[in-house]
Amino acid sequence: MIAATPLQSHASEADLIRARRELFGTRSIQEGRVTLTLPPIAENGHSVPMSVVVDSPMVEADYVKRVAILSPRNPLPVIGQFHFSPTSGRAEVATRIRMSGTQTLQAIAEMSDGSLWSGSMETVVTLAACVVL
Amino acid sequence: MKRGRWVALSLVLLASCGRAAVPSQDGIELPPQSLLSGYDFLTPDTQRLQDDAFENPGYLWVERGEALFTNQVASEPICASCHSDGLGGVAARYPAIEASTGSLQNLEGRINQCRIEHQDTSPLAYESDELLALTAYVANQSKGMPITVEVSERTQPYIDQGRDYFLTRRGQFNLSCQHCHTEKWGQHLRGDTISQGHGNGFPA
Amino acid sequence: MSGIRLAVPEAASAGDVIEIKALIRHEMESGFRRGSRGEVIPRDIITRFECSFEGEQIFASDFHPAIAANPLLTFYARATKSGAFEFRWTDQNGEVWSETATITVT
Repeated sequence: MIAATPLQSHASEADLIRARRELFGTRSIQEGRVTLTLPPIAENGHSVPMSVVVDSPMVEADYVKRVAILSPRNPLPVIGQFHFSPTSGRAEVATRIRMSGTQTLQAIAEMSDGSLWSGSMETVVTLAACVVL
Repeated sequence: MKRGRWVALSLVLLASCGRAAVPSQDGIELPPQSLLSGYDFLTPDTQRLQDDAFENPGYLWVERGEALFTNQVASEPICASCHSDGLGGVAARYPAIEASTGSLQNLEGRINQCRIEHQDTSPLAYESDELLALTAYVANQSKGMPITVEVSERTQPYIDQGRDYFLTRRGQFNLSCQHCHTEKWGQHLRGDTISQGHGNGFPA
Repeated sequence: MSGIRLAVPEAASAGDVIEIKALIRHEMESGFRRGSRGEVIPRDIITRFECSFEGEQIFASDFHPAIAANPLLTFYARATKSGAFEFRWTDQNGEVWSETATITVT
């Protein structure tokens, strides 16, 4: 089946890899410690509730410096970045994001010791006919 | 806040440039005991969002409307000076027959009429932020109250017009409102669950 | 009317991790939408959010066009002493909106 090209642009896989490299260099990224939560089916692609929490003691000696949320399918590969400090108490944030189509988002966390950890989640984004809150 | 949807649709008819079209003869009315608000068709997450006055973006407009209602703007008398008792229950009976013209009027029209007649200022454009905010604020004051739109001899012609519009096929897919909202409510249209199409809960 | 909404507890015990919600009314025009004549509607977004306590940054966010309209953030802070939180939003043109909230910590 030949898929019709949508009117909106997509970031390519190369854009995503480049964004990841710009944000985090070439350090290896391990899966784990990062829990990204999205609804399995997003009722409205213009406002999808998202939360990310990283397992960390959040003390001066060991805390999460930042978390970046990346998309393989949105027009731009980076959705947002969140910067924490030991005073955050908890490396957790929730917000609402836009998603252009079904995809698996990735959250990458950078720890105070420089190590990188990641988590991901897939959300099905259907074409909304008419969603009214 | 619920609205009789036949009456609400009569507004659409008045606004549209009606081309003669034959309404479907097989109109089925939903029995009163099966009427459900659009709210009931939302996912639990979306319902929670709607219920949360902090997170529901709609309340930003309600707040803005409250500010417009109660704050002095140039030399206009403020809405609150006449409506010092608030407007509870008002939105629940709109659209309503307007006394001086005898025509049906919606809430936006009533707000604009007040602006022209009692505040000596210009009407607000449809879908403008200010009009949406004022309408949201006024509608919110009737939250939870049953729709009490007048159904009588003088409103019946409007109700009939709205009903005819609701039953008439139109557009590219040649569907009437009826086809989805009366015959297929609860089923899916792409990713959404089809509601019964009631006008309660607007602006949204 | 600023269009900023904050939910910050008024009081906490020292050491408690409190939840903070901050919302600002803003279209967050992504720059990917087209108008009725097919023209691209230019991007107009808030790009940075910062939360500080008594002058020291606790939490910050970089917003990109994929952050939804009327951006809402729920995040956390450890209560240490009484004082004021400052919340700052900066848009792509450098315009700033800010608000404060105080907390009493015992």
